[in-house]
Amino acid sequence: MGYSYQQQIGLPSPQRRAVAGKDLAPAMPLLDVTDLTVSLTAGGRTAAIVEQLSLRLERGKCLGIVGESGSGKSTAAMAIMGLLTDGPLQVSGQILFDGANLAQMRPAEFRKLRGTGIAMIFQDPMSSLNPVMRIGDQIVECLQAHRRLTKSSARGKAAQALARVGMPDPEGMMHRYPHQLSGGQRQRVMIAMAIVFEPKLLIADEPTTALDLTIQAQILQLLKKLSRELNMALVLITHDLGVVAGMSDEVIVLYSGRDVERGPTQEVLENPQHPYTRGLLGAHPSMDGECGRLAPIAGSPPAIWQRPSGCAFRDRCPAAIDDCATVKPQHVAMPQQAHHVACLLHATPPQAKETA
Amino acid sequence: MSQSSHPALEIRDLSVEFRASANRGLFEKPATFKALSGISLDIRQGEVMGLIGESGSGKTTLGKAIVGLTETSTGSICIKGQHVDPARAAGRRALARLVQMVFQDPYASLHPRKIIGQTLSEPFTIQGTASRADLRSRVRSLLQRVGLSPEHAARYPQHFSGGQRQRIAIARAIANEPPVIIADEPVSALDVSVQAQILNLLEDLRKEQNMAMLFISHDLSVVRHLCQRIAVMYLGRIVEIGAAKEMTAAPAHPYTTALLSAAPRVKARNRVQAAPIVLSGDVPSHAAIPSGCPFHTRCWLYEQKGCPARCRTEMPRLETLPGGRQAACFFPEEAATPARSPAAACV
Ligand SMILES: Nc1ncnc2c1ncn2[C@@H]1O[C@H](COP(=O)(O)OP(=O)(O)OP(=O)(O)O)[C@@H](O)[C@H]1O
Ligand SMILES: Nc1ncnc2c1ncn2[C@@H]1O[C@H](COP(=O)(O)OP(=O)(O)O)[C@@H](O)[C@H]1O
Ligand code: SF4
Ligand code: SF4
Ligand SMILES: [Mg+2]
Ligand SMILES: [Mg+2]
Repeated sequence: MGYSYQQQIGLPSPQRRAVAGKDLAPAMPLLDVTDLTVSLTAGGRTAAIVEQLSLRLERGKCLGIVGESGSGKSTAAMAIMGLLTDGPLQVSGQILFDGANLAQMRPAEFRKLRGTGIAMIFQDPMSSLNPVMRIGDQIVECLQAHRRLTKSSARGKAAQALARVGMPDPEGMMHRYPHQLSGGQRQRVMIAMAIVFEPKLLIADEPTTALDLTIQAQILQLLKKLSRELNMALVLITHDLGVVAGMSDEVIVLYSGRDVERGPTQEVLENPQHPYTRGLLGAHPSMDGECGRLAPIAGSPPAIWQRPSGCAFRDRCPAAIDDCATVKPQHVAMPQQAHHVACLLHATPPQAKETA
Repeated sequence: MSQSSHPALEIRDLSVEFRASANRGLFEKPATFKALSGISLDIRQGEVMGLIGESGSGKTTLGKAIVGLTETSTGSICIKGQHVDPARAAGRRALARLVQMVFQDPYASLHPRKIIGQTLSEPFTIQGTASRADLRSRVRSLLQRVGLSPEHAARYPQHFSGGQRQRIAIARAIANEPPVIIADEPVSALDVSVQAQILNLLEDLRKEQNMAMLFISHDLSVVRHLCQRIAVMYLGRIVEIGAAKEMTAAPAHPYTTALLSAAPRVKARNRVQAAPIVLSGDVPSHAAIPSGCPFHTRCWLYEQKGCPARCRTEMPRLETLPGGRQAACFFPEEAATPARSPAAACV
């Protein structure tokens, strides 16, 4: 079997259409982002921090976004959350949430959605908590900003939310200040605030990067549990392929602001097709098996102004060919459903080499 | 006894106390807490010893105590059989010849106003190990040893990426070829693709120079890759020491088992088959170390065994097990085999 035309240009394959074919319009994904581009203009030059990122996420599912620092993960998340509109960055592309076009939403409407429909948690919980305000008061304030609630019912809800995220002694914790909590407890508070309104989507930007292994395991387990209980979709941003492996249904690998490979997590990790993804997996020491010499990727990720033309990975890529300097690789579907790669090596369908 | 029969680094019963920052009355004795208790550790020449443990467990404190940046309250440190005493001012320069430390943050550890050539000349001029005439060529060859080019000597730190800065920090540490290197999370701030370059460099240097290294990290896969042996720390104590491959295959302390289980794995077939062990709660503070075994408040094996009173009342010592492994647990042979079903919680 070779490539079909539809797979090559990224149309749904016939099998998939048959499944969705019951109701003629396929079920609408919860989050549908098309060609999201975030760019920065300075000194007459423009550089894309995030370039033509498209993603789709169903209700209750988890999408992992993996990339090294500076690859544009946080920028993409902030753009989806509509948090870049007033800044120096230009955002383009279409973002549909539950069918609504976020770009056309009025600011007040968007603000309301941000509290109740989509929520986000950040890498460093200390910087998102008010250091001079008790935990309980902060959650109550957040609750009252979105719903008309009496102080006492808001406090009750806050305690419930803390209990839900597994905080020991929720009532007692409400009286503490952020610096009196451990890093893991602070991240629990952030998660509690994010889920009080039971959002349909939670974007978690490196939620465990600042935490110890054993606490990371607790927080990931908690996110999984909440996602299941609330049927909440999760965008999990991380630089750790291992975290994605244990958590997400699908994964997108970002390099220099571009989605270089995406697909079902297992498929991408077991059968990586992009030289960068392969490089990442080869550079990571294994927890099991022999310790051969590591195969590092040469050089380091380029700064946004130094991104090479053509394929952004080309000056570090061991497989680069001449075309890589001039041609920007487009996504090509692999024979395995939903596995896409943006690399010129995959632009020629394998069937061309086959003699049937 | 000849010098070479000594381990490169010998630590005996080392303790470090810090003053607790809690408020106290004017005339009260300042409260202290033990950041390190009774640490004993040997590292042989040409050996990399990994040191892992959660944040605050005392890894950096141990490293700093060895290089004389932190005062110790009890215990002794010998390097190549030579007793070192950083408290004596005269001993400082001599100590710098014996042991050097590489820090985690490659951005903070280099002087921003000094060109790299200047930074790398200092170890030679301070120790008087290179003549003025030789200095340039020594710096050049040092840069080449860590995979940089001699032209880099004229640049300032801000022109370098994180990985390159870490190479420079390593170059500075190995300039006078000290027998012992302390590397405190040297790759934690680096991207995965760059981290592997530095790990390979450290591996090469160890082989070339036959130095001993204490490699501090919280990444188990990195430690397992680079180190021959691993020491696991919990609340200022070493709870297990053993050969890297054996320990990661079958731990002898339930805390090690939990760390292994929490380590994210990329390949599905390598992920822990049963449910991972997720420890409950946080690491207790040093100011309130639990009675008996300090780990009993989070120990899954304690629960699995029906909460034996001994774990609450008696402190397990680091004992040597058959095969040379050391562990501080009353039930080391059961640490590698968590039961499938969760045990009842102990109150
Ligand atoms: N100068 C100091 N004064 C008081 N307490 C200190 C001092 N230095 C370290 N500590 C405390 O000693 C304990 C051990 O700290 P240390 O920095 O050694 O931990 P670590 O294992 O290196 O942690 P990490 O993984 O976060 O680097 C902590 O409780 C820390 O707060
Ligand atoms: N407002 C901004 N002005 C200039 N550069 C920016 C801005 N926001 C992000 N960047 C740059 O864009 C790149 C991607 O940043 P970020 O999204 O934070 O990456 P990640 O989260 O993947 O580490 C980085 O090089 C960062 O410095
Ligand atoms: S397009 Fe070329 S440079 Fe880019 S990953 Fe593929 S082979 Fe390498
Ligand atoms: S001695 Fe008891 S509490 Fe301590 S690690 Fe062993 S089983 Fe757990
Ligand atoms: Mg980020
Ligand atoms: Mg440290």
